[in-house]
Amino acid sequence: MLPQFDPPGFLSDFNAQMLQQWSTAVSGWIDGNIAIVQAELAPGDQPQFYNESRTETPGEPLDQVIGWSGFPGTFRDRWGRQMALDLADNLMPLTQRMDGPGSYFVGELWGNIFYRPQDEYCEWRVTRDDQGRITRVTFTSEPPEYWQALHGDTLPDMSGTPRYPFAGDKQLLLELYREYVDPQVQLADLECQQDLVDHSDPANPQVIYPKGSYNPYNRWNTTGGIMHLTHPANSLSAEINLGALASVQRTANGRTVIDPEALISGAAYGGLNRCSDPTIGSTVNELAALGAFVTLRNPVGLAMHHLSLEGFRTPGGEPVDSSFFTVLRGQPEQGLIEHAVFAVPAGEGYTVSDLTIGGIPITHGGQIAEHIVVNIVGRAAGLGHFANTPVACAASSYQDDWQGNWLTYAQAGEAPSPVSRPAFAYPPATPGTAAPPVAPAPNTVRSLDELAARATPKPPSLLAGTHRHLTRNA
Amino acid sequence: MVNMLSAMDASASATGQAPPEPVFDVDEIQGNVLPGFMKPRMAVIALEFGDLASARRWLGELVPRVTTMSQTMASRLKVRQERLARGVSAGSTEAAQTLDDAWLNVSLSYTSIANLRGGGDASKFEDEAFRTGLADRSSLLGDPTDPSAEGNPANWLFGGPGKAADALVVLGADRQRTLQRLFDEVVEEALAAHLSVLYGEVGGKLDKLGHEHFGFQDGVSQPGVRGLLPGEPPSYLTPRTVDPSAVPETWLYGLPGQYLVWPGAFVFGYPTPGADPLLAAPAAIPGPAWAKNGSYAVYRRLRQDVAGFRAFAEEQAASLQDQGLAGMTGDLLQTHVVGRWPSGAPLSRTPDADDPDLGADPLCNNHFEFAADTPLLPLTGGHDDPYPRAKADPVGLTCPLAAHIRKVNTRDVGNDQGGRRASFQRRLLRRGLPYGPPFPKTGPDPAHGDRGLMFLSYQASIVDQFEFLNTTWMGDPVAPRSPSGHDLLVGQNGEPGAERQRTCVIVKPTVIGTVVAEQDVVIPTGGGYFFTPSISALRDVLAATPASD
Repeated sequence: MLPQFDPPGFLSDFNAQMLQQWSTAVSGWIDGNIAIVQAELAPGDQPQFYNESRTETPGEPLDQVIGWSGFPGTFRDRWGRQMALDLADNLMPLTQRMDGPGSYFVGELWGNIFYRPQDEYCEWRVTRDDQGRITRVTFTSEPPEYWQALHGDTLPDMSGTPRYPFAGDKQLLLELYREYVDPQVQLADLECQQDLVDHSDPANPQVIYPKGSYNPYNRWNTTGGIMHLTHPANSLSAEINLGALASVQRTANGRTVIDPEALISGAAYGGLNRCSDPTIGSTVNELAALGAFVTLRNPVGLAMHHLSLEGFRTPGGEPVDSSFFTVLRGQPEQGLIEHAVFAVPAGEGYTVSDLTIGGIPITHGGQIAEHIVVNIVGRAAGLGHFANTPVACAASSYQDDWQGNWLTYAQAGEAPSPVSRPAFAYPPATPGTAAPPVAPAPNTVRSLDELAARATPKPPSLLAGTHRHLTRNA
Repeated sequence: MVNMLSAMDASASATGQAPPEPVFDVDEIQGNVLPGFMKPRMAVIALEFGDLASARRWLGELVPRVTTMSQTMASRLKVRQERLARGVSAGSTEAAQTLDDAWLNVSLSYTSIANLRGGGDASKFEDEAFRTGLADRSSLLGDPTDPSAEGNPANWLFGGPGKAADALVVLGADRQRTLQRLFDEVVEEALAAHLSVLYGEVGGKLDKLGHEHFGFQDGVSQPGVRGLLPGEPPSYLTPRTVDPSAVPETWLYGLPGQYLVWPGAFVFGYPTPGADPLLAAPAAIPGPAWAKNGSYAVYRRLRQDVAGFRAFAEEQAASLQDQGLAGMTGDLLQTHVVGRWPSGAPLSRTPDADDPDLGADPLCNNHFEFAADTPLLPLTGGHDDPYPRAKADPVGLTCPLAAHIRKVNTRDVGNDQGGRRASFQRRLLRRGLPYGPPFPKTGPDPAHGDRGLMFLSYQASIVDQFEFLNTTWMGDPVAPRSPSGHDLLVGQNGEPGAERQRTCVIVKPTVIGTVVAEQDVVIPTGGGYFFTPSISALRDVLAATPASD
């Protein structure tokens, strides 16, 4: 069995006490999710998701790297690539989401607290010079929980109750920020100066971050710099939850659900339009379908696997080599990059904006993120050990008529928008009930021009609001 | 006016009916785009324009000779009828015996379109790869950046700096003599119109089945294109072979395992694939309005080092044996690199030995998935599938994740782009054939190693389809799924400092073997990015003098 869980990317800032506390927290999150899964399963079935520090599994485990693009599929599928590049480099207030209407938190103060809307567990910040040229792009995959722990906060369990206390090392926290972000950082800058209260339920406001605790959205991690992930969905506990829920076999209308998008639609374990969540979920589910114990391999965490520099060229036409991508934190040889900087080596006399990728000048940080693979590692053991009864899907999704790549969860079974259709909604699996392919009915004939006119993507109303609140991330 | 059936009006999957599909404008689309010439002989001529007036005149005179989708389909139907008469099974790769067609299509580069249009609306083409050109995108594909390397654009036969083609004429024919006659005519007419011939190549199938030079049947897995041919009643372009009782498979497949893809993935102006493969997304014309019914064409002359490939396989098979993979041979490793046996039989369905009958059976040789055990499907017409079914193989214990067929088509499993939608949105219509004589079994090589593939693909986006597959999947050591490595068949490693070394892993239940390829065995030696316009666009827009002139 695993003696203890390590921090993401085997980061080495914790002392022995905090390492143990971290392991306790990760173990607790896993156990909490096992309990969640247990509640979903049929009576008598046992969760396949397991805790490597508590469960002995038979035979040698099988590991599977699960990788995905660092550039948000959510942006690309919603707005197309060019607009996605424009939007992705910016900060958003926490009162606005990029994956649909609504707010992460409610309350006036949240409108002035920003996050990076990059939702693939890989966030970046673009630094520009006075002429607007890109001088560096800084990437991170570090979870916020790690930094809350360094501050000595108590992390919540899966129910949201504060449960895992950390000794913390505020001086080290400050030193790290000064080393990686800015020498001017003060400890007070990193802490909440008041309770950050969510008023989503007006009758029952919740303190999300108490006064004096670490503020993941502090200015040195948002408007003034980048240290770790900020997107509310980019948390370690969310990733564990996804892995756990994906270990359950599911059915829809009597059929086993295999299609990754149909699976996430039915299980509701993550972002429908991300590159990450559908593939993490389906990969875990495929391993679970083999009757295996499944989990996320230690260290449980997100990391960048690599940046591919194929096609990157200098102004002189030379290939851009690895000296342009400096890994500052993590273990790059193991595909566990936690913090890295893309910049032109000193003395070259040009900027990132002078580089090209495939002949196209770099104008956005997202162009580099497109060439980053982010990853976690799934682990399976004891193939054939389980034969659990599949669980019926409780959720479903709709496909947008204008942007056919865009899926949205049904709200209480209803269409999220009048211009959407139920996705993956196949008829019940009863032999002989399916109608044969039909000849097209005359009344469905439309002109190409009419269709083409309808096809022109119309930015949703959400976007108009988005622009008002964009904050330049540089 | 072209009529289309709206795919927007019905949620077919929910209503229990097949999704309505659009009707093709069969007299507008060039025939090699859809349905594809699929002739045993093929030739390519790359041309450079002289003065624009002559180029327009040449193009205008060429238009009546451009073979349409309608003409190509008519011939294909004759083939089907002849096969029926001769008792040859539907989908057989055997060529018709009575045909003597000679067909022609033409595609144009971005630069030539911009010149012909006097600047104008050429910039409306949204695809940045098309606008940039293959030579400048070459390093992104992993091609060698060393100017002295054979595969560097500086050394290409055409398409490199100063040798970019304005037009690409593609010919297809049943017979060599007819092909050569047409080839000579096209060259003669081009020269007469002050065009320069940068490159010409004549090739064709090496045998009836369609093996490429490494010895594997090529082109087994082509996407099935949704859409209807006009008629009373309209008929599907891609025949459906799964019995209607199997839902949703009867709506998902043409041949079993052949995903049906909305035609907008390949041709401008038709419904495009959505997240749900049965729900089309709106039609799109990501270019000027006249680009409707057109498609991007990618041509790559790929030299294949047959001796090098075989030597690599023998050497690395021995290494794998040393690593504990007993029984690994050079031939078996080649099969693992491809994902199919030489006959075309998928490793997933016959892991231990080739099965030529399976390889030659189009109803069965593409019917396999990876996420779960592949179910047996009821087929129309009384056909059956007597071969072993494919077992779930998400980790690649049977068919490695680095195998070429898994690198370019992830089928039912998720990948680095998210879910299954990539299996419908990243596909290519491949129309290439080999050039050069077969590698001799003994004796000196008459071609001195110059043999390979005239790679030709059609797609609606060069960036999102051709380049994506090359750069993001084949050339990446992790994507689309791992544990994998590079595609050791066609993939390249252009990572600076990697010295082009490619690696992959062969994962078996108790052993993980590493394969290392030190040298490229598929080397680009020419090519270009083109657009294949509709007939009316050729005649009325591109061959016409723009108002600004």
